[in-house]
Amino acid sequence: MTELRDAAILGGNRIPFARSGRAYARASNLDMLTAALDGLVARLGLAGQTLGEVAGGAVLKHSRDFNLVREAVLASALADDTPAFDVQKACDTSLEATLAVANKVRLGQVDVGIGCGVDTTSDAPVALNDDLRKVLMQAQRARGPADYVKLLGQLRPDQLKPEVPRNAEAATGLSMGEHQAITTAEWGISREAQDELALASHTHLAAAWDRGFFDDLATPYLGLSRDDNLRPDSSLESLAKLSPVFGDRETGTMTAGNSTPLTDGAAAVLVATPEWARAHDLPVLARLVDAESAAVDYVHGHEGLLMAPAYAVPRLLDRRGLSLQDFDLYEIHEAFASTVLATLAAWEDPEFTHDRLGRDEPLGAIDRTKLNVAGSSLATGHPFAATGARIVATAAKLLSERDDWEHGGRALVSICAAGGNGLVAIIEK
Amino acid sequence: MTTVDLDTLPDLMGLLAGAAWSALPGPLGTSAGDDVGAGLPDTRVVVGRVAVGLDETADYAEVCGFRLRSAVPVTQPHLLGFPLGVWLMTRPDFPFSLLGLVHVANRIEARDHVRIGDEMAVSARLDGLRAHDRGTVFDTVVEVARDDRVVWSSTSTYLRRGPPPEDPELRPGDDGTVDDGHGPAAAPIDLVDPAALPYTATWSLPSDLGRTYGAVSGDRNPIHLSAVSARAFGFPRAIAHGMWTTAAALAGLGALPRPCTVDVVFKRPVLLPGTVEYATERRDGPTGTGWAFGLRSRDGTPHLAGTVTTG
Repeated sequence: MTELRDAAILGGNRIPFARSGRAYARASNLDMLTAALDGLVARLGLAGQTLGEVAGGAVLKHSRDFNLVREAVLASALADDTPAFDVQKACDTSLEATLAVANKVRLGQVDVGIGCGVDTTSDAPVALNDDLRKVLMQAQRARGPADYVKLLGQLRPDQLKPEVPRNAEAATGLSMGEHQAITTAEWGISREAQDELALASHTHLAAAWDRGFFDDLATPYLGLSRDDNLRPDSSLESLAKLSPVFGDRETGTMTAGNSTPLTDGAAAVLVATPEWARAHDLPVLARLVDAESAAVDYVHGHEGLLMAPAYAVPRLLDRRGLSLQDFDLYEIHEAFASTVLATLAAWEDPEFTHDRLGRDEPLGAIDRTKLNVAGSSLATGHPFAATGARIVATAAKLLSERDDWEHGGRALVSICAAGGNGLVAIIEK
Repeated sequence: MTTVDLDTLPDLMGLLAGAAWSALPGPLGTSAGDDVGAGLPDTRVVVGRVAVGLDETADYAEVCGFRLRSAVPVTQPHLLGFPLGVWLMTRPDFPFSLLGLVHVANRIEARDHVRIGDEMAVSARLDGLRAHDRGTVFDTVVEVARDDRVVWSSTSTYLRRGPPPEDPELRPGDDGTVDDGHGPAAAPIDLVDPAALPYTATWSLPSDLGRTYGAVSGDRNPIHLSAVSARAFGFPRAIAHGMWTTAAALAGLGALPRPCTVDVVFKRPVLLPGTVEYATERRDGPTGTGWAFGLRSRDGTPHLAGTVTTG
């Protein structure tokens, strides 16, 4: 077996994220992903170069975009003979894609590649009504006029109603917010705690933009130079005024302020061997060291839809011989404020630890000052497939900024996803 | 040379309608005769402040096949200069009838990106009236400047075929010798033979392509709109806009760096609806990457020959 090589993270790029139907209302997934790739290519001097692999994807995807990433590569300034493939794993898409590239790098299959993702809710695929689609499929198989007459009789006006993609689980019919409302209530996550986390996200993201942190992580696109969901002047008072949007309309705690809005955007991250980085005179920010995937049975098993990372992290820690406290930074995707808080609560809870994880000791609490220190999805917004690459690039750059980390510079990345999936990873300086 | 400052880009629809009216043959038209001896109007027309918006860029990119970027497609500033060129070519002191002209070649020098929302100054002038073995050619020279620096310029070469008028479908642009050799596009592009380039793709062009591109470009010349209106000007069917074929061919090359220079020669018109082959070949030169590209019928009849040089 080949000795594993390091998967170095050399840089990342995203376009500022935009709330649905605003700055990027005219842009397609292909447009945005090409823009994110070209920004990365321009900043790191990759124009005309052939990379080993580009992996990425989108969650809301037109069927014509089955080769979305390869098409984006062809439209980008990368060499046209750069291979690419699509991945689709809900909110984990670009973390899984980056991991795929990193694993190829580690195994010696490629020297350099890009993990990326993009999503738009402004140019979402709207499909033919399923009844009508079935009639049309039958028409293709029809033989002779009699068959066609029969099929004509099956056409109904209500078949003109198109099939619009819904942010809902196929198995339960519940939206992600409705699922999370159940988890939020089960864990007794308070409205105040959720609003505080949301406020911290906005405050941290605003400070990061202000100090120029994103100058080499983002490229302006279509007139937008900052995430337009960011509310730098947000306050606990203004957040407290919002009405619940998920769960019980009276007693519910999840609002538009502590839930992520539908967002358009794209992000990409460059992964290579340290040797490749040296040869191309690019600094290494950090390394993608390991990852763990988990899923929960949210359909029959009574576990929360977005709780898979709570299971993945202890397994990853065991494999690496680490404790939850052995990290300098925690990047926990803020699908909802209560998702982060329920995950943290689970790791501290003896009953969950014993009954669900089958372990004796809870993982314990984390130092909250190390959590999402440059803001996260509540403030940036969450273009589903773009979030993983955004987080990896952010974590890698944060680690690269200091030399005096207590644990040598180690970050935990945790991203929950639709379908009860979750993916977590360790990034080290 | 006198300079005329306009506040906004002139209304193409009005200019073209007037030109179409006067060009119509028969009792309705007023068909003024050519007066080459008077030369071209010695006038430069300028619009000092103009910007390209997001929606028009998105529409243009979609129709031509470009990705939507913060910078507008390399061919899009042509839409700023075209109305100014038409404004000059519909003045009383312009010696020809606008609708009798054939766009035979075009050069674009894109020195820097033009971004959506950039405030720019656009100017146009007519220049280079010269003899051609098929008649007379001249250039419309357009310059787009940002902060007093020219970032994009183009030279559109038009042919006024010598009398008597010949069947345009048989004779437009001829064999690539677009002018007498002094035109800006003559030298490198003569070497590009669309029939000899490697095949890249087949394009099926719909019958409404001229109307679609006419809507985003404002160029609603009747020869592009429908078979009926095109027949009035001697074409058997509507023909695709030359600048659409240019734009679509360049869109197929992916991201082009700046600076770059694009040369195209329009050979035979593309009739709509129609099927053409798109052919491309990398031609890297001493200063950077480059391309030769072309459009041809499946039997090899050339429609468009082009080159891109960068650096």
